[in-house]
Amino acid sequence: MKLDVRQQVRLPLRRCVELVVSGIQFRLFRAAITVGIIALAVAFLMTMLTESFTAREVAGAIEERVAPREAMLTWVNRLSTGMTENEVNSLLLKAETDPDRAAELRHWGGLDQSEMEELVNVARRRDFYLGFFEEQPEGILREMVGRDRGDQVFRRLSDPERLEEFRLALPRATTQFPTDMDEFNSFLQHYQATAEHRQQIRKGHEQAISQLKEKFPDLRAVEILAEADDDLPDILEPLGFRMSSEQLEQVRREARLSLDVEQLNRLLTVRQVRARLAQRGAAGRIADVTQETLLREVRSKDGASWLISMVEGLLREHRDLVEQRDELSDRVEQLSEQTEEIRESVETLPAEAEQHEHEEAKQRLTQAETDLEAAMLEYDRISEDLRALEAAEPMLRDLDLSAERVSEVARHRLEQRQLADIETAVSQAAVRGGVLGFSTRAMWLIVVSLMVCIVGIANAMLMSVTERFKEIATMKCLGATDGFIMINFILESCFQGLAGGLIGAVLGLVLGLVRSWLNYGTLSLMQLPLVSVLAAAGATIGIGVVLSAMAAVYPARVAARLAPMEAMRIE
Amino acid sequence: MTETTQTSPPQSPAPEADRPVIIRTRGLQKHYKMGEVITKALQGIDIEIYRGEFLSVLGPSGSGKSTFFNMVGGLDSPTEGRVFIDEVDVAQLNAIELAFLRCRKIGYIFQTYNLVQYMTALENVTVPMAFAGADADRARERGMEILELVGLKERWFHKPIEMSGGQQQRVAIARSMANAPSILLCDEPTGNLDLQTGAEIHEILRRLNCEHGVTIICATHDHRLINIAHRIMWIRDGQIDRLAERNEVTIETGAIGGEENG
Repeated sequence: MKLDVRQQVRLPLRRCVELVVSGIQFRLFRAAITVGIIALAVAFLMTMLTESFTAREVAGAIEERVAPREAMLTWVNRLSTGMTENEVNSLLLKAETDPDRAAELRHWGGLDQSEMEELVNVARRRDFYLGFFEEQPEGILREMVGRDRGDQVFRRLSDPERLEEFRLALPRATTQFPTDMDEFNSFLQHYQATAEHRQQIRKGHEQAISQLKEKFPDLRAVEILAEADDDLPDILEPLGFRMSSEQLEQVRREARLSLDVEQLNRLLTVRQVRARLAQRGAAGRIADVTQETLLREVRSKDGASWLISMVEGLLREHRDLVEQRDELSDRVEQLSEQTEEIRESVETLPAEAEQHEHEEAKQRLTQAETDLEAAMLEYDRISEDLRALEAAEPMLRDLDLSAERVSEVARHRLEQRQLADIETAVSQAAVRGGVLGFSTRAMWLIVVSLMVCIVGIANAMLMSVTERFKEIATMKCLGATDGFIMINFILESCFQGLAGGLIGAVLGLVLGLVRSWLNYGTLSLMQLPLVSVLAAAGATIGIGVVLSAMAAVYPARVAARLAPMEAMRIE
Repeated sequence: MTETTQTSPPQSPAPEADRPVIIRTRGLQKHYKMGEVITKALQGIDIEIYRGEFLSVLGPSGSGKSTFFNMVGGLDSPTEGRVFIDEVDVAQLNAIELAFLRCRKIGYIFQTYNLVQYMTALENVTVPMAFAGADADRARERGMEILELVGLKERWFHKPIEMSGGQQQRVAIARSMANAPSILLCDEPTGNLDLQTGAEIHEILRRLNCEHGVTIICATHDHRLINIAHRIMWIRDGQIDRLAERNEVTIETGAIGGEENG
């Protein structure tokens, strides 16, 4: 008959989950607070992550898209302007991987293989030391190398006295000098020794540019590129420039676009064009008409044909005005002759003529003079109008774009502008640095939001525990162990965390996408990094679950420690 | 209910001094400290409760009745003195052993039923079985058996909110019997019920006592419940005021005459 008391069974987790799930529908509404808090925190985190990921992708995509234009601008620059010391060096660094650039440099400098290698080597080391100098604050820099910057520094330090000065000031530097002094010394010597070669390269390049000018005397570099035939690379090669045929294709297209955009822009200098644009409703006042206004207006086929017909209309107006002016000038001539005749006849009228004859003649003269004056006024007015158009006329006449081309050019240019704007936005978002592309400030915001979230959940759970004192106590009377109660509450919180996390992740994703779309346009949706975003969603949901579990620890302990006799209490 | 029937005497004979004792308390004291004031809820209670007995506990509120219940039910530990359940000192048990004790050896019936609101009658009944580690299918089967015992087999899928007070209390009784405990602790089981439903509850308790040999300890004001008890204990100011066999007490309708009668 002896009562045998053993250890109470420890319920397997599966059973606990079953018991929690059986009550969860009943309590889910009550758990709205916890779910809401988690959803908010997770949504916030998810928004930031989505934005950061899309921004990063967008940055990459932009670089790819602006590459052709960049290449064109680089070519224009190379074909028209000499290189600075800096440019020579960066070209030398590029030559390491790009055989075309290496060939160009060797051609201009008249260098052999080993001289070239030496130059590249020096350029690499120069880059390395420059990095050190760029990192130093201005004051310390002045102490070390005075007012010299960039390549001047190396020239200055070739003077042993100045080098000694530098050596003494070096301990004040904020970062470790990359090598020891001997090595730096040897670099300086090499740098000096190769200076001549670099000079040769620059001279050779300048020569090439002037030879090119002789070949195409009236053309700007961009025009050379735009009007290039397929044999341009062959023309360029003897001058040292190496251009591949694919590059020619790309560069030519971009150069043409650039010239056509110039044409459109020139139209804007015509006052009448601006006035018509403003009239059309593209801008409020004539002064508000900008390049952007024009591009937006003519981007559609409709707008483009409107522009073309408007330009034609202006030309027609010009022609009409010229005709009218010519007519008027004839008329003025005629009238002045008539007037002269009348005046003569009046003067020669014999004095003995009748009184009324005199008066009649005078009247006719006055009439003729008035007509002449009116015609001259008219002539002045028309000439005035014509003068305004006259200056614009060649520009208007030169416009040789079809409506299709106008809209194509406008669209292209607008996209480029937009890309530039997005690039600014992306670089402002500082996506390139920091953990997951977050700034320190964003990190703090996230951490604080998560802490607030924990406190909020703990509070809500504590309320829930207090509300359910009797139920918990009854459960304990029925044989629930402290451990079970604890796990029960933590599991419940986890489920709420999961629900909140799911809601939050979806919400945050949508919000993040909308924000990226507003900031970076449709490009962000096309470049959506699906895998990273899904991983981020998983991670944030996980964070939601872990946070709720953590927040539930204290309330669950309160519940677990509740005395079972609370069940007897009658409210 | 086969288990219980085997381990308990088939019928509950009149208690005798040499009958096996199931609960024994020795010098039971409980003090509550409320700030500076110490309230002595129990001031030395010695009682032997026999196996298969139906004991009614009477006393005005604040007399220490509930505290006594908590001590005997293993819900709270005494300040001084001991509680032995089947000669096992409750104070010696750790938390997990106490949970075991509460789960299988003692059933609790509360004045407010304390059913879990979001569970059906059957689910409520199977909760203690789940805690005892029974698998879900067996628990359901047994749950239905017990529900039949209290006459609610047809209503197993109802939630507490869909049932009357009497039905809820019957579910609560079924739940307390889930793991076939040898002791039932009832705290004013009919306190919230009308006379008619109260009578039904009495009948069930009586049957459990007679047919299943469950020891029942019942705090009550209901004289009819006293009527079916074997012994009656009065508590006043934390002490046993009087302890009497049922047949020593006369009960008049609407009043407890035992006190005058002796």
